[in-house]
Amino acid sequence: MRRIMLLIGGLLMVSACATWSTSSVQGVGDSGTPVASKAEQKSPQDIVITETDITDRKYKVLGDIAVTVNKTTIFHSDPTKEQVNEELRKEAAKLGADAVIFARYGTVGIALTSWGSLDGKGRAIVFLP
Amino acid sequence: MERGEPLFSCLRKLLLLIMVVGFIAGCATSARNLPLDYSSIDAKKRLNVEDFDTAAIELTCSQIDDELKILESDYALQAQDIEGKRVQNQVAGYLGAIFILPALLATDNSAEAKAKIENINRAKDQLYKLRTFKKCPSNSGR
Repeated sequence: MRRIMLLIGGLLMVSACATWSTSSVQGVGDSGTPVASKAEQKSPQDIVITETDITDRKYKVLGDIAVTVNKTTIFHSDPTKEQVNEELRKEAAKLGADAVIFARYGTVGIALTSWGSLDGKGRAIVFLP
Repeated sequence: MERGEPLFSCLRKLLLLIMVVGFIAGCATSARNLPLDYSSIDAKKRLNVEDFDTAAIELTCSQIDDELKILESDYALQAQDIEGKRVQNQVAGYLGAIFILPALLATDNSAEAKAKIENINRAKDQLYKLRTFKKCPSNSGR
């Protein structure tokens, strides 16, 4: 029985997802957190991520996104900036955003629930015609 | 109960050791807070000349970008330093927790690099604000 448990544990450690993530969106308008309809939602690949502001197009802010990527076990590799960007894109896509501006990242380290955790923040915006 | 006590004590020591390793090996630092919204159509505050010092306001867009490039290469160096030490910390942590306690002395929590990153980020934020104020062309590749 003990061997089976060890085997299951070992298999989980090797085969389970390398990372898991959490996210939150804070709406900046009076209406609270906006949620786009299915038709308005974008594909995550189409979302531009920039660490600066966008100055040559008019835009509206949809919300401030915060995501955290955690590695599943101590043996997995540390989460990367690219994985954080991927999560930011996913959350922005749900809001129907065109871009995430002011993207910023923490540094990888130990968190309460993970041996390797990296967080990121960004502001989801939609361009105006 | 007597048989359980040594196990409990051993587990307690292990937990304590893990906490010590966690403390020494360094905690994750959070991404800095997002700046106020100065440029969307709904922005409640717009940037003014008074928000910047005179030396900064004289910088051109290309000078701002050059400054940002320098800061970004500094940032990459510090991040690399933290990443390198994290691998070293993890190895020392495993060894310290399992085999040799003094291996824990080989850990380094990269406090200096993290402090430098904090300063770099503050400077970057100020330059981003200046870019917004000067309406420098957007660079989505940044």
